[in-house]
Amino acid sequence: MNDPVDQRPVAVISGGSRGLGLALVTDFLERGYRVETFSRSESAELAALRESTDPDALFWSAVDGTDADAVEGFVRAAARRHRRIDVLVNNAAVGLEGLLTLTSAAAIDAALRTNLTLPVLLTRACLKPMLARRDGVVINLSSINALRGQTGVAVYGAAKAALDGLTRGLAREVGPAGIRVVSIAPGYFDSDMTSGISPDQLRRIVRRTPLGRLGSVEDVLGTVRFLTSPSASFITGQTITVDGGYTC
Amino acid sequence: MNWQETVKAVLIEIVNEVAEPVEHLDEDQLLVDQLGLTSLHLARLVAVLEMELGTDPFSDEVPITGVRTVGDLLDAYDPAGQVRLGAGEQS
Repeated sequence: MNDPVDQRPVAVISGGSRGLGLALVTDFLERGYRVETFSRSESAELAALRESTDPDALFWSAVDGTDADAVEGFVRAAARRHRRIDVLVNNAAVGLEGLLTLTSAAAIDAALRTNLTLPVLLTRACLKPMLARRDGVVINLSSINALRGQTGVAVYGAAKAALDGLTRGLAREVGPAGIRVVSIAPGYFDSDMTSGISPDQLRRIVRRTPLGRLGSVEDVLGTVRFLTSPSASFITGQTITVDGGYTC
Repeated sequence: MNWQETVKAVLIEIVNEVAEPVEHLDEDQLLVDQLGLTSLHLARLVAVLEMELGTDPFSDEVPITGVRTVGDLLDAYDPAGQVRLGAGEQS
């Protein structure tokens, strides 16, 4: 049953069952948001978090991000439940590594569906309740691979660069309705996405990073906190790079 | 409030954000050229009505480009009108 007096803001976070997504879910909850998230399956960590969290504050659904109808249905249910969506974080992504000529068309299609089509559809759906209230923030999690070429991640980088294009175009489109759209491009930080990088490669990355370390989940969370705060109310259409200076 | 009253009330609310306040709308008034709505206002109108009525007739069957007047808008939200416009699209 909807609680008409519940004034807590609502964040929609894609892929909230593990890694950065789970950290985002936890952080938004701690900041007093109600959180709607989805993933293909529920991790043990998310199940434990749900056990210990106010059931009116955390909602998870099993949704395949490549199923457009399911994604839109998820947002419709969230909007009906809360009558508002304040923040969308397009977090869900899959890595795709390998030389392009050695990558199957099916793998490319699957990666583009999750890394580009899903955030586009999710954004389209979440913009409706944001437009209705003339307020909202969309955060697209991009990558430094969108900004600098890197062997083996051309398709991943292309999808993330397209996401940055979405950020810029939409910022103009919905800015007059009070909605901000921003990309965050993290560098290499300790996560599932970098678990395949060898210790030698990681040492090389650290050597090339002016601030002398890998990024952390906290570095990304801090940027999300800032961009969703009133302090960032004049920032839209930008890609904020969080990489310790690796790409400067 | 029935669906027609809801559509009119939301439209008046959004028109009043744009120009001189109005209390009444004629069905032949042009949304863009006479009432001053932009495409973003129309997007907001559709979004608010989806929240209020639980339906977005423009998601599938009715193209928003075919909606020029207040009457067209009411037709789009009329369940019978949706069938009519949808049938027109297929012919």
